[in-house]
Amino acid sequence: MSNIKIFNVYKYYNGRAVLKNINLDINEGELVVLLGPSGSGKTTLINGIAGIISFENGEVYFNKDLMNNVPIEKRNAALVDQNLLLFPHMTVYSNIAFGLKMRRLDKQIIDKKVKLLIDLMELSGLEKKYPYQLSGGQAQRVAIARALAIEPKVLLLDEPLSKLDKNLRRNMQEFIKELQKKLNITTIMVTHDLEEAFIVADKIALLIDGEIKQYDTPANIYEKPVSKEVAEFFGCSNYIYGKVENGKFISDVGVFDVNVSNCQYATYMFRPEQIILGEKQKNSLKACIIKRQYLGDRVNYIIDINGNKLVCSSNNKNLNIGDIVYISLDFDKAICFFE
Amino acid sequence: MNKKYKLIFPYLLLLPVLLFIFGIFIFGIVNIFLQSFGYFPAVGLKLFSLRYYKEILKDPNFFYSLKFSLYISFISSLLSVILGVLLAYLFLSTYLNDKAKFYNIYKISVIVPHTIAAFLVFTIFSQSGFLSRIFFRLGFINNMVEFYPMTFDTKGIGVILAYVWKGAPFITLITYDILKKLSDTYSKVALNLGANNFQVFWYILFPLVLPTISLGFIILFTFSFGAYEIPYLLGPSKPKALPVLAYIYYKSVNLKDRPYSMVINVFIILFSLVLAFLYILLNKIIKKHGIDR
Ligand SMILES: Nc1ncnc2c1ncn2[C@@H]1O[C@H](COP(=O)(O)OP(=O)(O)OP(=O)(O)O)[C@@H](O)[C@H]1O
Ligand SMILES: [Mg+2]
Repeated sequence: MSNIKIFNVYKYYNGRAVLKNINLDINEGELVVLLGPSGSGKTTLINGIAGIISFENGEVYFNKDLMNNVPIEKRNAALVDQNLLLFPHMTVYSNIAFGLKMRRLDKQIIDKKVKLLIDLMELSGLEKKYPYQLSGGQAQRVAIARALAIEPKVLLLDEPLSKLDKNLRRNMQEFIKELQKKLNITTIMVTHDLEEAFIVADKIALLIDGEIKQYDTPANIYEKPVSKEVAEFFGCSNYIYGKVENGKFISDVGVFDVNVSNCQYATYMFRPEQIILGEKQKNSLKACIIKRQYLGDRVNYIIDINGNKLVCSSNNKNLNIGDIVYISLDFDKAICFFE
Repeated sequence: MNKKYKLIFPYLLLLPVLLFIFGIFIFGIVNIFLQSFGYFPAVGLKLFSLRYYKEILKDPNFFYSLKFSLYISFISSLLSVILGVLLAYLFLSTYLNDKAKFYNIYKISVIVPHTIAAFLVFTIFSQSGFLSRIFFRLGFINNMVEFYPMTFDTKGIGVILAYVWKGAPFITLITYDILKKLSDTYSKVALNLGANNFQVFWYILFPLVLPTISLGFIILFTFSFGAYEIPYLLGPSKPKALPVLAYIYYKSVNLKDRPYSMVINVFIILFSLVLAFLYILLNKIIKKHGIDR
């Protein structure tokens, strides 16, 4: 087990910076999710940590040891590739045993460890099967078992669940999280699935365009995004533009009491679930429903207030287009950006 | 158009070509078999018999030739495979500066006809050839005839050289892309799991390209076992390679020798069939383990 420090990392392809000034500090036993859109540099970063590619600038430390010049085979940072890449000419057993065999360990010791992992990953009965005979979920578990067998200092998972259907994915997410805690192994997991990130992560590093835009706990990154860019990545948001004068936020939607100092341009952001639909009361605003999106467990209503469109999400499914509703906005919980 | 018609339509379109290809093929094969059993009405042989088989199988020259052909095919295919894979491996490690695509010229020898290869070997390696002349001028040998005989020699060195010159690049051609793909993927995984470079080669690269190499070997072997031009141009007069023997019987002024030629051809065909069967078997293994994917 080991902590990971990444300091001022840059990576260029054909003169274009694919990673820019990456800094990450990961504690021992933590599971950090690297989240970001396609092409943002997630695989590049994780491959660099494993030593499969090298960075042009910056340092990678495991504990206090500088890894930059340590070759792949000496890093002990097991990577599970996006494509799994189980060795096609080896059985499940041999795949899992591979790393141990390469270390020339005693046959009995190898056998004991592999059997343990087979139990742990619920793979019994499949020992003699070849990769082409496995289902997606089984192959995924074999790939993880193969990585765990070498007792790596660091476990790197590059979209390990991307090829699974939704149910299996949920199961595997729980499974990975529990396993990771049980073995207390420092882990970086790549995904571009928001929900997956929230389920498994201790911390999320949001990578956009090769830059880490925020590195924080799931709750903080969702509720206290540091920029509009971050906020927007986590889904549909409502913005109310205006100015703050003497403790009042003045906007097209209305005038509200707020607790911030004067500012010429202020933007308040509300998540769809932060706009509460309800009865008429003291500070509520009158709005009209202009669109309705049925989502199963809830409904998204698009409402109009004085010509401003807002999206609010509610589990009251009985409202229809044209209905007049009253909404309340809690400005203390909203996020404010100043420009 | 009704459904049935639609179904056969493509085959109808292909029919002329199919007739042409299979017609010639089947006509040839049937003729070979008929003549090998002594049925060759054009020269008055009308009785089926096993006589020619018996005689060929009693002839020691046939076995010398068989041995010589097997030896040449085996050694040249083996050397081609070893050199070809080494070459591919070499290109792989210099791949880093992939702007230097000049090495693609190796593919030329795959296109060049076998007779040209024979000619090249002759001009360079024969006793009156280029190397011999250089050795003579440098004073390593006193007479050009002292140069080690590498053409028309009983060891078949010239023949093997020509086959290797054609064969090795062919192996490089079919293994390079696979090796490249493997080393970008499975080799990295193996390294990541702690294998050293030798282990990567031995446990990953080698077993995964082995089926492809074997296919290449079978193709080269089958070809050189059945082709007559290179041993005819560069080989010794004794022992003759099997196809050369067949060719000589075939060209004999005595048309009644024709069945001997056909018997030898039958043996070559049977042998090729066995190899073709091996080829199919290997292909199945590759498909099953998804190595080519
Ligand atoms: N070998 C390479 N040569 C040139 N450019 C590359 C190379 N590898 C990656 N890139 C570029 O670097 C950028 C980041 O790629 P990377 O694979 O890290 O993205 P990613 O975040 O993993 O995306 P995805 O979610 O689709 O897997 C992309 O713009 C890609 O085109
Ligand atoms: Mg990726």
